[in-house]
Amino acid sequence: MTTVTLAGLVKRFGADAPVIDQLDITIESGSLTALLGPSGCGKTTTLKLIAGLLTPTAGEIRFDNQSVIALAPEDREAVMVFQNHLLFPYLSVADNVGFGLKMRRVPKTELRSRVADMLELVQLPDIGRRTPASLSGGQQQRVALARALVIEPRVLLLDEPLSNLDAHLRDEMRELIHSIHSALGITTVVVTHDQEEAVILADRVGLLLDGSIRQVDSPKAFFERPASAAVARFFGGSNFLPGTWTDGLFHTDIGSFTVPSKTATSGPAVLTIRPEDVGIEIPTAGGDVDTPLVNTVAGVVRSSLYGGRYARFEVAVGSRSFDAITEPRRFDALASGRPVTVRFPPEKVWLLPE
Amino acid sequence: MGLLLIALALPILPLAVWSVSFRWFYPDVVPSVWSLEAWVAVLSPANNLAAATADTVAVASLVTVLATLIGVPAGRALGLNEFPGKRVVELLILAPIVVPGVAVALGIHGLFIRYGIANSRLGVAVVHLVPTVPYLTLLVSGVFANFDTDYELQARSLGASALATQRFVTLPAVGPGVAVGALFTFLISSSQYVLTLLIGGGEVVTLPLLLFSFARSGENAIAGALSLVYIAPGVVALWLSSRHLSGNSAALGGLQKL
Repeated sequence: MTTVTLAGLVKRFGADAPVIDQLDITIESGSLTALLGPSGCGKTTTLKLIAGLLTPTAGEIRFDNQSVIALAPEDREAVMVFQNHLLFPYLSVADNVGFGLKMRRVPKTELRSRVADMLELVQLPDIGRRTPASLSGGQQQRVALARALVIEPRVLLLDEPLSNLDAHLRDEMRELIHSIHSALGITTVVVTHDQEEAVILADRVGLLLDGSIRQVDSPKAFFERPASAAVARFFGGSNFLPGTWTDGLFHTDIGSFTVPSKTATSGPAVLTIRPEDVGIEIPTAGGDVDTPLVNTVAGVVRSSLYGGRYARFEVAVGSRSFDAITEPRRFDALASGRPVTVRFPPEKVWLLPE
Repeated sequence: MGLLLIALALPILPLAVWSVSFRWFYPDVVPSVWSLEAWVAVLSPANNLAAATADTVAVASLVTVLATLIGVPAGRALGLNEFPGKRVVELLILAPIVVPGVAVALGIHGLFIRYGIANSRLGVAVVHLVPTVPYLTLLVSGVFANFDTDYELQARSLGASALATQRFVTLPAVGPGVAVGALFTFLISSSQYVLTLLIGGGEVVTLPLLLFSFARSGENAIAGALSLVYIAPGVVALWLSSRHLSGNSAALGGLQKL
């Protein structure tokens, strides 16, 4: 079990702007942590830095508080599994899996039994003699995983492990990664650009934007308690309302709202609410104008989209506009141009620093 | 494939007929008198066939080793890296092939005399690097352009040292391509005439030099026989390497079936 600490990590190629800029994250021992970020944000670079395949421009990488910067990749015991699996084409499956053991001069009989055990673990027994080219994409990915696991690394680094797979293979691979992780307890870092992949795979997620970590949290927290507008946007948040928080109320140009006090920071801030949490009601004729529900404002449906499992609306409120997602059955009742009451349930709004 | 073999073998046929002819004049389709005299003459010790073969093989082997040592690292660098002016560098590498061999050899000759390697196998081998290194470098750069260096990183990550990575990962991947390059180097070297003549100064007599001397003096039968001997190493080398290269090239794959 190994805790991985990246501190002030910087990686710059040539004279270009740094790919990784002041990256700090602690990956808990035995956790399955996802590094999530858009393409080109330096995720794979970060994995290569941990594996020792690249040298950082500045900063520190520690395994259990011991610096590993000076260690060559072959001595680091942090094994990287590349996105395109990279099985050596001229070696059999068994020789591929046994490669790391052969490099460590493990005796032949022990090597053979460990390779067989590992192929068993990834649910591919009896394919040792085949060539990598004769395997399906999903099988190749699992062999690559076995090849990394067989040397019992301190840290397992997976680069986009699900992205090359079909939908049904993704589920299988996800379950396999989960079961292997809980069986072996190896500290695992997964890199992905796919928000859903990170959420279903990892127990911790680190969001990487523009070369640095913006938030490290449980997957759920990114949806409910994003640290910034950029984080909320990456996770599909689209409603942002600037205002000022004073006297227990959040004042904006379209009205004042109650917010849960524990989320509130005094002064200027941005209110956010997920589209699926926005309530849309059809006002009753001559309704209770004097005693409106808490946190409601009047609006008009501007556009609507039927999405099968959901219906999506854009609602104009004053000069602002909000996205709302409802169950699909309400699509017909909420046609474009329809006046509606928009509700921001207090327990579901969240305040972001300005 | 059959057509290809005919196309490869057909030019050799007249040489074979020449080598066993004694009298062959227009308009005869085949020689009017046959004889094995030419073969006897070629194989007789007086004609230095053994010495010429030894010179040829020694020089070509040395060239192959030296050119590989220079061309493989250069080709790797050229194949794996993108940099401004890469096209210009590639053109400059080809420049020695464009410049006439005589011009190169005359300039280099004086230098070699000063260093004491003119008229020697070493001198000839060094001058043969001029036409061979460009081909080898560009060929190897093509091989490396198709090589994903992440394989090397993967091996390092799995625990292979830098040296073991070269041995177990890089070499098996690029080996066949480099072997083809080395083979071409050997063949180009063993077919050099002008450079060998000028730098060898008559001390180093390779097979092409021997062949030209017979062809020039009108000894068509002996020249024919000698040509067959001269072609032999190339065919053998191609045949041997095609066993490891089947599929990479139609011509090489076809030779394997011979």
